[in-house]
Amino acid sequence: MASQGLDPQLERRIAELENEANQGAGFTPIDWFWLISLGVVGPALLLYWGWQS
Amino acid sequence: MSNGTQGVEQSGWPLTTHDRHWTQWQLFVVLLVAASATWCYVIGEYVGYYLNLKMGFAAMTAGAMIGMLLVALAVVPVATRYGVDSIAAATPQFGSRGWIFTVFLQYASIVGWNSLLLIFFGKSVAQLLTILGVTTADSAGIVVRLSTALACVAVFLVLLRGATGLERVAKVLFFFIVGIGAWMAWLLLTQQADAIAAAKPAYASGSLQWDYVTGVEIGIVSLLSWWPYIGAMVRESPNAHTATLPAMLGMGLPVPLLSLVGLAAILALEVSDPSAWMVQLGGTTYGIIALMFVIAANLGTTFAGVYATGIGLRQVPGLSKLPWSVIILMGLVPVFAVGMFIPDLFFSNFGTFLAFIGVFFAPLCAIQIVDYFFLRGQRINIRGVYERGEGSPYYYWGGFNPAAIIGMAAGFGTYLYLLNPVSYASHTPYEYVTASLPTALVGGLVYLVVTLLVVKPAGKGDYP
Repeated sequence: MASQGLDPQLERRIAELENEANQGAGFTPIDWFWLISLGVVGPALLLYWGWQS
Repeated sequence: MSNGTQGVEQSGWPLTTHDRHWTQWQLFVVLLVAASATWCYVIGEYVGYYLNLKMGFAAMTAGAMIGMLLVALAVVPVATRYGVDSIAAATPQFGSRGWIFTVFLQYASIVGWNSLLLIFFGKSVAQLLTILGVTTADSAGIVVRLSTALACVAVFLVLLRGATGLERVAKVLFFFIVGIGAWMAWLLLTQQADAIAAAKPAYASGSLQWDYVTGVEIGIVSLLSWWPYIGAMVRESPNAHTATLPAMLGMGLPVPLLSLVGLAAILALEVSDPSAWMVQLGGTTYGIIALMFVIAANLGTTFAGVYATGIGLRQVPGLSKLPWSVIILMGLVPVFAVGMFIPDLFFSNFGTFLAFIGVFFAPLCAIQIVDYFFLRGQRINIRGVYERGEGSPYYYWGGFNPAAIIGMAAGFGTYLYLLNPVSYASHTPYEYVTASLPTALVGGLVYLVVTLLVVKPAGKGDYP
């Protein structure tokens, strides 16, 4: 793909990030645990608790 | 533009891992300060119209955490992998021209919210000065305008230093906001426990299930509004792991916790604004503390909002090379103008516009989640995000992706059918499933189907 005249510094940054070793890592299993706990299981438990009046 | 990290923080360019130094704690502090503002009392007030304290807290918190999960899944993985903000992260789905829609959403939403927050800020300053005997109630209009102008100047000066300025101010505001917020909640819950227990929600519908689901819906839709903010901040962290807990606990949890104050106050005292009820509870001194809290919280959120808007505007062709000071002014001048010329008109009417804008974030998040996790194998073409011309990876058809347009329209239509965001008139199955969750489901599903049936077979969108 042609660079379409990107700024040289932007071009350098893109070239660096195209190398997978230079990218930030995605969610780890622990992150998924927290996401599911705080975003799914926790809300479900809270809703159950709140409904018990 | 300098070549250093400082200059890059103020650009819309991707941050490499060398530029991203924020720790979990730094990100947590910034996100918490961004999330804590007067709107929390308004959210609590709305929930308190329908539910008692226990049910309201449960529904609002559950909804907030569900909403935060959607935003986190949509933005955090892309923003932290490639160091980009929410707008750049949406380019693969919306196209090399279609992303302008997300810029509009971000700009309108954040400028609108900032205007409301700074008018709140100005009103709080006017009240504070009146209580202290410095000014009279008659001069409140002038004080509101002057305070808004001064706040705009303060935001401008702090943000001249980009993300670094934001992070440094957040550190100062953090302890103040957390400390006073917790104290106010404790004060209200201990001194007004009987009144809270005996209170009846003012607008309860008669169907407890409808009221409960509405509490959840208010929580979800409130947190979905973080979409425009979060990308510019989480991109400062080196990976998704560093951003996960700060996003969920720093940006997600403070909103329902502070909203609890508004919820308890509206039930017990029939007013959610702490600068009003704190005077009732503890006299002038308490009122002054509450007003200082409102001032600090709203200012902190405005810093984050203007910074996020600036990074988003950087993506617009022609704006990428403007001086950072000009970019900040583009986010601040409309706020300043509203605060100067039409504060009351804006206050009365802009809520309707913001309610409709908020409806778009559910399908937007779902489209990003479906695209990144299910269609692209958790990778995007980072070069394609910055290449705009014909033949570029995300050019689709004329720069627009029909899957995203149809998905957004289907989601918007679904929401409006299930719940009118202004009048709260609803249709079944809203009372079982909320409006935002089916909206996200329909938006994401339509995007998936159109992509699989039309976009991918046509060889568009750089899909693997």
